[in-house]
Amino acid sequence: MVVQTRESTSAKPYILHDVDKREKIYKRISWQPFTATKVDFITTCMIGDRRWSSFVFEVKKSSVQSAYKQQAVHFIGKLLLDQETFAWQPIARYLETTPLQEVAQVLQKSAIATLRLKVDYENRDLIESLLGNQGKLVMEKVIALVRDSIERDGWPITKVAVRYVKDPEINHWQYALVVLFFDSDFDSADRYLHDFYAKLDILGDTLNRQQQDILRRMIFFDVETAVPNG
Amino acid sequence: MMSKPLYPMVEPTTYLELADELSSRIESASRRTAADRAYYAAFLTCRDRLALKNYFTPYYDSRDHDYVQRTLREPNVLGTYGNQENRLRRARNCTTYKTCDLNPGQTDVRSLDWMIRTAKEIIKRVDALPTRL
Repeated sequence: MVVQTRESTSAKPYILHDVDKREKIYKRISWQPFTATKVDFITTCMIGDRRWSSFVFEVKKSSVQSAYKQQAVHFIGKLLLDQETFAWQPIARYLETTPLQEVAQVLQKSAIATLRLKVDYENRDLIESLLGNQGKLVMEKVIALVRDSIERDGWPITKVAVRYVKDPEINHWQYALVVLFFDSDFDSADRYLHDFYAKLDILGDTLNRQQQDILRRMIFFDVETAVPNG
Repeated sequence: MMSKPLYPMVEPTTYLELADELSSRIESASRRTAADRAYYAAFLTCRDRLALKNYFTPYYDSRDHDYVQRTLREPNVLGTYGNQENRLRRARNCTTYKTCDLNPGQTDVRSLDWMIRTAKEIIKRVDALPTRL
């Protein structure tokens, strides 16, 4: 979608390359009560000597779509109060005047940039040697599932860490631990993890026998949170 | 006449009752012991129930920790939910091996309440499994 940052602009929009900034905005949006949203892209353009940024997010199907939209507009107002370079007025106007269906359609056609999921590997060499080639494929599918959960379901995951773990008691017991970082409290993250188990079970059905064995024996899961309470 | 055993047999789920009792105390030793017992209640109950229901044959030594987790995660046992036992173990390892302050937000550190709840849920699910013929 193209949000007009100013009626008279002739500036060419371009992708916001500042990943940290995008993630910061994404975190703040996905934390909101209407977590069924996702940020689809963020663009910036120069108007005169000022840089303006715009973004849009999709609201999931709902019988109360207009209420969601109002919430969205209200939230953007709050979000942009301390982001003075953001083009809040045009975005709000766009959301107020455009049918939600159209927003969704335009989004599908013009995804300029998607948010990147940050995946940190700790002791990557050890993990790769432990998992082998088949295991690397399984891990890629797991990460794709995480990405899908963020993009399709709006899960507030900010980062993924893949850690190499060696059990302190049992000799030779080692595995990869996939830690999902949630921008939520622990109880919410724990619920998301339980939902993730269901997705992993479905993923397991699509794997060959060797890959299923790797998923079962060598890859475990946990969560960490921004607001710990568990 | 048989002498009284030094350690009479134990039903592992009674470790959970002990964990519950200890969790209400404030001393760190009690709470860490409760965390350890919560894990062992889940682990030993799973091991014994899975063996009784013909899901696997235990070694009855430390190899069973890995073996139980692997078995729990089989699709027709608990599926990916079996991952919870691993979380519980790592939380227990923390309280057992680290003597420093443990705070929420630190890697693997989980509340005692979460550990006891999780142990109970794992046991409940394993109890509900049918016997394999």
